Amino acid sequence: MSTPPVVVGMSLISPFGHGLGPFAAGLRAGRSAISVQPEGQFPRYRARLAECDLGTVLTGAPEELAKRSLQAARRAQPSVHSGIAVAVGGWLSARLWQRPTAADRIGLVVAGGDLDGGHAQSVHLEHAATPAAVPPRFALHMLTTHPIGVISQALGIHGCGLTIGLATAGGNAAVIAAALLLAAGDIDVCLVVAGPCEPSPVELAALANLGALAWDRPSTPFDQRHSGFVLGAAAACLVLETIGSARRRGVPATVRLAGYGQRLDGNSLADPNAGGESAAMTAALRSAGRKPEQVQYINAHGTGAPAGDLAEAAAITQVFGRCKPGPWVNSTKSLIGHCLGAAGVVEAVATVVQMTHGYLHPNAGLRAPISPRCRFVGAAARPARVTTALSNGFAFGGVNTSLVFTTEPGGRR
Amino acid sequence: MSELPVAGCTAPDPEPVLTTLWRCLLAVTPDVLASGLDGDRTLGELGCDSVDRAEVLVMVMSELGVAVPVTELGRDLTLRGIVDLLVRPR
Repeated sequence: MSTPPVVVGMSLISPFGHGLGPFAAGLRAGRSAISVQPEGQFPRYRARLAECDLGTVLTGAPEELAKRSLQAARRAQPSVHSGIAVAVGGWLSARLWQRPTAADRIGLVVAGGDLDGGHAQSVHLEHAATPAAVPPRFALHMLTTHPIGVISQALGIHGCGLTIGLATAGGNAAVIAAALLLAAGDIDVCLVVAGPCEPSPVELAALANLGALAWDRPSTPFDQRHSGFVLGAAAACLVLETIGSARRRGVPATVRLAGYGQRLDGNSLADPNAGGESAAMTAALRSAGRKPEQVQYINAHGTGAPAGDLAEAAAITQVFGRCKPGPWVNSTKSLIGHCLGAAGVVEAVATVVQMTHGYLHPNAGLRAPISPRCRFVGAAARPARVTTALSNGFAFGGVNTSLVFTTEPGGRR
Repeated sequence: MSELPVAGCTAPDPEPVLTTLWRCLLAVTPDVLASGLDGDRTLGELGCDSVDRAEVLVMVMSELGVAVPVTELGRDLTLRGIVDLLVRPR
């Protein structure tokens, strides 16, 4: 990649709570946020997002920013509230409030335009009962422009905006889209924002019937007892900026998005393919100018779905099999479940957090790994100095993505 | 889709309709409370944007069980103007 952007800000709401502190602590402790749900609820196991009352979250934010955010959020559905909260957090973290740049040089990419049918289904039920009472605001909610509009209004963003679908690869694809916009010179700063996905009961039932969702027992990624993914929820914001702009604003950067790769399998099905996944990782490394032996850590897609775990383990072996001792591998989904369209952004934040805090989080519950050739992190966090890391994100329909993060030479931690 | 009664079939009394409209307005935009009930002001003057207006009108029609063509309510009418439309015999 010719001009790799740097990470200048991050924010997150996870099942561990609000902010990076509880998230970093939860990861390090290997505390699983996945819990059994009350009898009769479906699925029985899931990780739930921490409560997000926007007014409370914005306490302490500059008054004008909080006022604008609350005004923009007034009609938005709860999932967008979490998106605004992390966008404001990212904005402050990137010091865009204190050291602003031109509004039309700031872009916004929102991840996860699909797998969020829960709200729509509730309105459909309302419509079935009383057709004339459907709230007009749903005409905004049903569009992928809505989070873009609300967040750009709250933050006064006037550069370009995109919403990226691509299901569970959408988070990584959004980061890639932001990198492309920055490299094209259209903008200097880009917020990548992912709100929590709340699939509808119909969508969850379809995923369970397909065998993708672990609905009746907990499941551990890369463990021989894996039985599908566990539903999670988180919202995250990653702020990327060109190095020149970050220097002009005097904003410190510790980690660089050094490269990325995306490859399609040419397959419409839900069949993961080790060849496509390894091709995405190889392309990402090439784009970053890194060799496999330089990678110390992989944040795996690692959902807990048997076919996906096996394909990813095989893909990692294809790319890194000759490296001794090879990169450490963990799955953030083992702790907070699968955040679907937000997963890529959440796991990019998890990757940067681990790189900057000097540890790798455990694979919760991993007792009998499916592959002896991958170096999975065990039951406890381990100290690690990671200078090059990959974060994978794959999706049905043969979409394979991989991001490469490197520590910024001289970057302050 | 179920059929809704047409406005004016029962010719509701304007004052209770104004009260209902005010209640719906407060539900959609609580900030309007500071302005006080003033039937001669438009929804726009009371701080409603285009979606607020639609929300208020759908809510009040639903509460009253009447249906007025949206095009008639699309203009930024005063509260009394809206009430007139809601109670007008057709």
